[in-house]
Amino acid sequence: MQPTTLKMRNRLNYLTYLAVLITFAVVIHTVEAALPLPMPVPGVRLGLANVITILALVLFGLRSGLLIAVVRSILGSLFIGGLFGFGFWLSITAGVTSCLVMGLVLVFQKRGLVSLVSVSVIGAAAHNLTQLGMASLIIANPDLLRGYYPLLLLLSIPTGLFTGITAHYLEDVTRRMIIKSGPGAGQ
Amino acid sequence: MTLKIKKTDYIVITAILVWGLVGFWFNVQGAGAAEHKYATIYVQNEQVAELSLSEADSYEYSFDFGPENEHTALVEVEEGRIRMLPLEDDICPRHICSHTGWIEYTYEKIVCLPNQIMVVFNESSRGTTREDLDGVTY
Repeated sequence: MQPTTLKMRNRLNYLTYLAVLITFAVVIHTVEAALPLPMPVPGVRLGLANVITILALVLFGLRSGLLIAVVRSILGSLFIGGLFGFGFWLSITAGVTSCLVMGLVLVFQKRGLVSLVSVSVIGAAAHNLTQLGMASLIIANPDLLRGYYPLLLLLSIPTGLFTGITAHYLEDVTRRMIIKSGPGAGQ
Repeated sequence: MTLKIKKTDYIVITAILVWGLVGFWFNVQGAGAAEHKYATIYVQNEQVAELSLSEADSYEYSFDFGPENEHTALVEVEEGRIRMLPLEDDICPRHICSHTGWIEYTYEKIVCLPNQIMVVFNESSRGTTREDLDGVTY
């Protein structure tokens, strides 16, 4: 069935891309959770799924990014197990907060003040801090936040750098793909 | 399009790095000085005393309890630890409180059920090591 108008076609394109991005995010999230890390610090992860959130933020804006962060957490914990459990609340609050923060930094990125690396590093830092804050809130132990946050902050730099660089090149590739397959292409 | 890392990116990364290191530094600084615990004594859920338990403290503390305050209990503080000394047999038949012995970690407590006495560590207590625990779960 052919979409009748260009607007409908654009909408369809957007929905498809969003669905694909969500799929990628959920799969990365699930696989990453299953990977053992050679890290002495619990709770530290590369945050590869964050790449997809950044990509959605860059390509489609804040609303899509938030949608992906939320859906990724829900579906991810549905697959891993422990929906509405401890890990789920950490994941969803951290995902949403880091998404909002990254959306804010992205405004500066669009003006050419910073690059995606900053967006990603600040997002990773916000993610880690929120996660730790939530964790210490749930177990009602502020010592956890106090003693642990510098370590997570420092570790967010390498992971943020990695995801930022990945997101940069991924954005490049994806933009070219979208233009190729966008409205009017292939007709 | 190759990635161009801008000057502001370096500033952002350095700022986070400095923040993390300063946080580390403060934690290391605070760790040594904060070796201080406080134990609170409750009788029937009412606080009767708050005792300081630093390494240097060594004293005994007594307090009265009972319907007409006719009984006296004695606690002993020494080297950051606290214990309850035995009460009379007629009000404390099994001596579980005094048999608990010294407590020094913040998750430990002394409880005397027949007389509703409780000795617990305050939440503000710091510097508790949990080296004899493999893990803690909540």
